[in-house]
Amino acid sequence: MGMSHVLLERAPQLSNTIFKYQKGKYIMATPDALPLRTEVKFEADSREAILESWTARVNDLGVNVQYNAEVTAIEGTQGSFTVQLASGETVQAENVVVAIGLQGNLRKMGVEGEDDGLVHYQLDDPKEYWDKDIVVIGAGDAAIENAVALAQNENRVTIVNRKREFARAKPGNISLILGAIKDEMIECAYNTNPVRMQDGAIVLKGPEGEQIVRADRVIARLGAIAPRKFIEVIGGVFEEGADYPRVSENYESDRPGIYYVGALAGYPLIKHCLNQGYEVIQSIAGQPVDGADIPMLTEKFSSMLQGRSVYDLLNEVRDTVSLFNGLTILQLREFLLEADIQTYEPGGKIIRKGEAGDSLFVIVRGDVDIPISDAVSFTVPQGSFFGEMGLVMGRRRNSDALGGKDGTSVIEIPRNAALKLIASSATARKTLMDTIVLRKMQTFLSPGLTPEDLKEVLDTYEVINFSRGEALMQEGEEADAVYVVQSGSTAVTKEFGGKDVVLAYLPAGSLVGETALLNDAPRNATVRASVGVEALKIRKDVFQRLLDSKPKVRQIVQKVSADRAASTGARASGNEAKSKIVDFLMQNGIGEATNAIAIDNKLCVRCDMCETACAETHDGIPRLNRAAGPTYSARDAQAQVHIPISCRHCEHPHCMADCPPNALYRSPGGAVQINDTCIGCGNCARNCPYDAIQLSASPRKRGNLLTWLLFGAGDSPGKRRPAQKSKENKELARKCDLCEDVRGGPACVRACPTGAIIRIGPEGLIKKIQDAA
Amino acid sequence: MYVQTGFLASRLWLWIGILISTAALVAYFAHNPPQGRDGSTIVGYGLGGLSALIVVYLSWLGVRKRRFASSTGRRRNVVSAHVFLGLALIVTASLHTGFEFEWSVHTLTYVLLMIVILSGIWGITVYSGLPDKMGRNVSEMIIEKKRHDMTDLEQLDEDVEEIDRKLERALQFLPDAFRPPVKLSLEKTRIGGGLISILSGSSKGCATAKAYDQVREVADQGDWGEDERKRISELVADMSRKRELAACLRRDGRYRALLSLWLWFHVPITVALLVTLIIHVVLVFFYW
Repeated sequence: MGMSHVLLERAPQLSNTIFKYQKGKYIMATPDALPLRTEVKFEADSREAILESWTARVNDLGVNVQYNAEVTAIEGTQGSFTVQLASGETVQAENVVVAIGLQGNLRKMGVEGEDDGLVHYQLDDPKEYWDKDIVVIGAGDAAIENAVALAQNENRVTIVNRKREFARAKPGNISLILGAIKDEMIECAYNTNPVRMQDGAIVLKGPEGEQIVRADRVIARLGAIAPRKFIEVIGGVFEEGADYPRVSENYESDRPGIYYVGALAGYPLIKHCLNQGYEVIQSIAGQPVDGADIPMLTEKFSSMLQGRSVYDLLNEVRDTVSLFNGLTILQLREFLLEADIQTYEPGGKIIRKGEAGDSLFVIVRGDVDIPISDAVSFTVPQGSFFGEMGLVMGRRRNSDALGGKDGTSVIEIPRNAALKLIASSATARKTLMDTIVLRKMQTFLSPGLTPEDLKEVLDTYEVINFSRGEALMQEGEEADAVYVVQSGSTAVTKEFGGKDVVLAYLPAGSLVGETALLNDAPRNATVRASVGVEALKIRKDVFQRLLDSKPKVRQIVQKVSADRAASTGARASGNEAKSKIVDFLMQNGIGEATNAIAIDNKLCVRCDMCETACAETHDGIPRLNRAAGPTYSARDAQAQVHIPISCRHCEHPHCMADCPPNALYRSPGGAVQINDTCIGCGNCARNCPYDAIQLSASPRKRGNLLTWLLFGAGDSPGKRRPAQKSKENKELARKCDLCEDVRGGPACVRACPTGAIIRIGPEGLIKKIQDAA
Repeated sequence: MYVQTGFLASRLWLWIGILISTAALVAYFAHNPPQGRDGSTIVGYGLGGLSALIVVYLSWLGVRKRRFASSTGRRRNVVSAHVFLGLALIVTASLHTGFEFEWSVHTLTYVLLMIVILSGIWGITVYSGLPDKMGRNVSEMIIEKKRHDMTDLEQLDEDVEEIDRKLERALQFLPDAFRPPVKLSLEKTRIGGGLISILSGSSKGCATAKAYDQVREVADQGDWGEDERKRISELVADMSRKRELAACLRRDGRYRALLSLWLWFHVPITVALLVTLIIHVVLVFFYW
């Protein structure tokens, strides 16, 4: 371009961050879909190859580099900046691009004795260590790569992970470290933090208390943070709680003429960083270009552009959609890349009642009809969202959603992206919660209620988390609030003759505690969280004022309360034995299931036909273990119920929490499924509290049924020899898929000769028990 | 109290079974040909044909229950049909014979059929009674399940192993008089064994039971110090638990064996029955 420039580099060489990577490190070029637009080539390769090609390219291009030049301050304004160097020199500039990354400011452990020389914050060459005791602190990519390389060089390595899993790292690294831990190459301390250094050792504190671990070297890879002081000196502004300084859409800081790109602006990937540098220089040169993601967004939104630019559209989307109000355009761009846009004719079905789904929909054009009954329907206007029940409560879609009369365009946000949105934007979270409260009140009480009627409720509700077994309210206590169960489920119990009897099971979405408020009486029953519960608490006085102001609403609440009392009263007079079974189910987590296996052990002849059938319909690997799992049975028990180990397709699947390739999903039929992008890292299997996921390789093909029956040739059905894992036949996560693609439903249920087994949700199962003679 | 509807609770097949039996009886008594009621009358052929069809249909269950991918409804319903049609066979097949028996393949076919049906009735009784007993037997012995991916039996086996480890350690500290009974329990306790011993499920002659009695005897005889008494009472408790565990596991083994033993008669004799049935039909049609 022929621009006059100087590249100031603090270190004696360029690309210092990559230079400091450990020798031979293989560097990835993600995100794959993003095109690269710079003069400097960048493809996934080893550290050495990349450094060599970049140095050569920088020389070829004739970049003016000044090494060992550390910047201490920048004075002046756009057009005439004076850049102060540590050496005392100054450099004049019209514009300044700050691309210092974060590696110059490594995060420290912050423990006693860490400056004694034993602790290093990087590892140049793992080959420098041999036969040493080394403790690696951290669970990110750098820590994993260092630990594995050191272990390969015959060192005794302990890796210290603050959490209970490796989730932050790249999928490849996660499987690498988990493999190394499984093969006992590396010792891993989960849920553990360093406490202090102590001659030749480090003290760690884990779930079992403090332990002293011998260490010839401690390598702490805790990531890096933005050098806040320096940034503030040169005029950067950190918003409250932000880790990175604020930048505009073209990466300009609050001080005109100074730009931040790369990790400093919150984009740690090399590709992002190179593209941003390119975009900034183009805009300084007066030839601004679109971001690399803009063509992708343009294509995605092509149906909606109608001649406008994608920027106009982005602004419009941000302004109309309340959920996006708090996002910057850059955040919105990144976020929309993951979302999907769909257009519907009037009356077209966007979601179907009863379908399982956990994505969130945002209306960008037109409105959406949600029919509640044949006569009444609910209109959701442009800018609002719907489908939050599936996302937040893990329940099936409770009604259809249809395209409005002038056609509708919606953005479908997949579960993970929606969760990220809620986590990253306080405004989005608040908007979502408020809407849920509003809609819950409208469904429970009256669709006629407006946001104004509920203003006080919306202003005062609280979100409260209860852990399993904790009581939302106690029988006999003074009533202070009503609750809306947001996620999880609860069990209502009442004391009869000194024993707690379970009266009812209330799933997510229920309103609880209204009776005591209506009658101004103490609580008439205890409500406990049967799994982890998130509930919205609405204060007593607020709720009562609402009822006082709306006599019709009071009538409705009275009716609901009376109905509930009648049905639970009938059940309470039922029997204690049944209540015990329900209690057993709740204690074993059936409350969070959507579809679990239950076996009537009085009918089960232990033939294991269910397991065999499962194996035969699923590549020879059974996804249920009939004999294992909890059993309800005692001398005086009238019934025997057994919950074998198999997927329960939880409302909020624990397994989905940390899937690196995002291979777990919920099918429209309601099953939690694994697609073929599974990398076999085992996170899901470890996260499942019910041991329902296993890792295994594909077994050999089975023999023919008739030849086995007649001649005993080949393996018998369901009893194949164990699979041999190999490079081609990797261990992958396997679990129950509800036999969704098998005609006739779950093979285990169909195969049972005596009818002992059933696959059912908690509501159905409890009803069966209550109806049992 | 049953939470599920079992294979015996099917009303539909019960009524079909009763209907077939009644129809057979009515036809048999309504039709009285001059040469007497036997297999060669119209009704006789009818009942024979019907019985043969039912036999073939019922034996097909062996293949059908292993075809897991086919979606022909729930196996429970097929088993209900199997049970009630099988019971109806007693009537139809018996009437088909006209109660004329001789030393021939024809009578053999009938006898085999009756054995198959009787073994089936035996099967129904064990299937309807044992699961409940099995469940109670095992769950009463479970104190705490260490991991929920273990089965009850694995847990009980592990409990036994744990007691054995304790006993072995205890040998070092216990007075010598306890050595023989503890060794006896450690070395001679057998669970399972041959068919007869599994089926008996009996704990008569259980080495640990004997050892337990001996331990109590030795304990009563000696004059033990404070420390020793503590160890001895622990030993007695362990021995007692191990004795109960062993008995429980033997009972479980017996139940398990009984649940499949009847099939060892039911299935092979069915195969034999099919062979004689073919011979019977061929002989009747070609050589009569």
